[in-house]
Amino acid sequence: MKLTKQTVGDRIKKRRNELGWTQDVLAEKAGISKSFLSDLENGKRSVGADTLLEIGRVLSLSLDYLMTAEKPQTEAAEVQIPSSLASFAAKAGLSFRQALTLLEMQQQILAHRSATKKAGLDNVDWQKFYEAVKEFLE
Amino acid sequence: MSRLVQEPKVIDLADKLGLGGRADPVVAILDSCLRRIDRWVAEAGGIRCIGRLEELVTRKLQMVFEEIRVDEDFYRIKEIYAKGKKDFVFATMQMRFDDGQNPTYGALVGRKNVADDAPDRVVAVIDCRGKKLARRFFTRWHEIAHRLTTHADSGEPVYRSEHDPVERLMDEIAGHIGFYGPLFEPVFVAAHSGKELLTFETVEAVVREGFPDASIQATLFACCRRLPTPVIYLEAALSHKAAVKRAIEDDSPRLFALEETPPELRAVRVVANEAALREKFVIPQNMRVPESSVISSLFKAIGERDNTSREDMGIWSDSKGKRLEGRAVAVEVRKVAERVIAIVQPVEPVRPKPQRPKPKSWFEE
Repeated sequence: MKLTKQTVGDRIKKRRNELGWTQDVLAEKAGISKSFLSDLENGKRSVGADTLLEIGRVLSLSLDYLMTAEKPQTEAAEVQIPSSLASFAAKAGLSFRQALTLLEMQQQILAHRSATKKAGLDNVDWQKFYEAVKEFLE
Repeated sequence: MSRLVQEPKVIDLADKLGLGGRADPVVAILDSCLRRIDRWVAEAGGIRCIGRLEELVTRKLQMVFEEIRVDEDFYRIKEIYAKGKKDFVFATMQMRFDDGQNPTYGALVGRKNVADDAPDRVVAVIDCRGKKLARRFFTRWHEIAHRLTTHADSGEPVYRSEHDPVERLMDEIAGHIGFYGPLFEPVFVAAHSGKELLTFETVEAVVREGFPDASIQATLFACCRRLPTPVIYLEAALSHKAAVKRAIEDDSPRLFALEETPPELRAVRVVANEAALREKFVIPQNMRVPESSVISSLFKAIGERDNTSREDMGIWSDSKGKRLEGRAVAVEVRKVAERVIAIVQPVEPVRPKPQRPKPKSWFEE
C-alpha cells in the first residue's frame, strides 16, 4: 500500500513536534533511518503500511488519523455517556464529571477476554465498578 | 484458520491495520506482526531464547505483564497502579476477574497517566490462578498479539468472549509468535529427527529444549502446524450433540421439559494442519468418538495416562451412520484432567475411491 505523501508526513511532523522529539528520537523508536523519516516528513517518500503502523504506535496515533486526518488525537470528541451509566449516575447522585471519569476509566480497557459473550459499555455493572473506584473519586 | 478468513471482524481489523484488500486477511495480519518482530530481532542482532524475545517485543511495545497468581495480587496491582500511578481503573481488576457470571481471563489496559516513552504504557493483566497457570505462556503471547494489532486510541473498549473471531485470531498469532520460527524450527527439527510420526515424546523434548514455560498442548499445536505431513490434534470430552447443546443453552420458555440425554465422548476440539486439510484428512468437530477407539478406552481407564494404537478412520461415523473414509491411522493419546488429547496421523496414503461401473449408454450395443 502506498499513501499520499505530503499529508502523512505533515501529520507525523506535527505530532513529533508536539512531543518535543527530534527526528533522531522518532527514527530510533520506530526502527527507521533518520534520512527516511526526513524524506517522509518532507513529502519526498511514500511509506508502507507496516512502517506507518510502527510510527503510529510510537506516536500514539491511529493509522486512520495518519492516513486521513480523521479523528485527530488532540481534539476532544463529543462525549457520549452510555444510557446504563447515565441512569446509574442519576440514581447514585454522581456529578457529570464523576460519570465522565468512570467512563474514561472503562475506556482504558483496550482488550478484555472473558468466558461468555461480549458485553459493551451498556452492560457494565456500573454500581460494582463505582464501588471499586469510589475511594479515588471522592 | 480458514473460517477466520471470512469473518467480518477479521476483515475489518485487517482494514484498520492498513492491510485491507488482501486475499487472506489472516495471513496479511500475521505476516505484518512477524515482519515487525523480525525487524526488531534483526536490530537487536539476533535472539537466542524465547524469554529474551518476549523481553524485546514487550519493550518495543511498551507493555508489561501483571500476573494474578493469588488473590493478594489484586491488592498489589491496586497499590502500584491505582494508588501509586493514579490509574484508578486498576482498582476494578478483582471485580472484573472474579465476576461469577462472566470471569475475565485477561485484560489489556492502556495507562492514562503515563509518559509517551514509559515502558509500561500498556499493562496486560492476566489470570494465572489454579488451572489457568498452565496457559500462562500462551496467554502472555496472546496479549502481545493484541498489542501488536491494537492502537492506543482504539476508542470503545473491546469486550470479547474467548470464542470471538478476533480472540481466535489472536490465538493464531500467539501460536506463531510465541513459537517464533527461527527459535522453534531448530529445536523441533532436532527433536523430530529420524521419526516418522509426531509423538508426545517429541513435543516434550521441544518444551524441554526450547520452550520451558510453554504447555504441552500449546507446543503440540505448534508442532502440528509445522509438520509437513498430515496430522490432526483432537480433544475428546463428554459433550452433547450440537442440537441438544443449543437446546440446553437456550433459556427461553418451552412447552415441554428437555429430555435428559447423557453426554457422550465427543471430539470437542479438532485441529487439522495444512497438510491434512489438503488431503481432506479431517474428523468433524463434535463427532462421537467410536467405542473401539483407544481414545474411548483411555478415557474410561483408571490410572492410565498414555496409550497408542493403530486404527482405521472408517470406525468413525456420524449420528446417521455415515462413516469417514477408511484409512489406517496411528493414534497417540494422553489423559489430561477430564479429557483426552490425541495425535492422529495417517500411516497409509489416501485410498483410491472404488470406481463405480460406468452405466452403459443407450446407444451402446
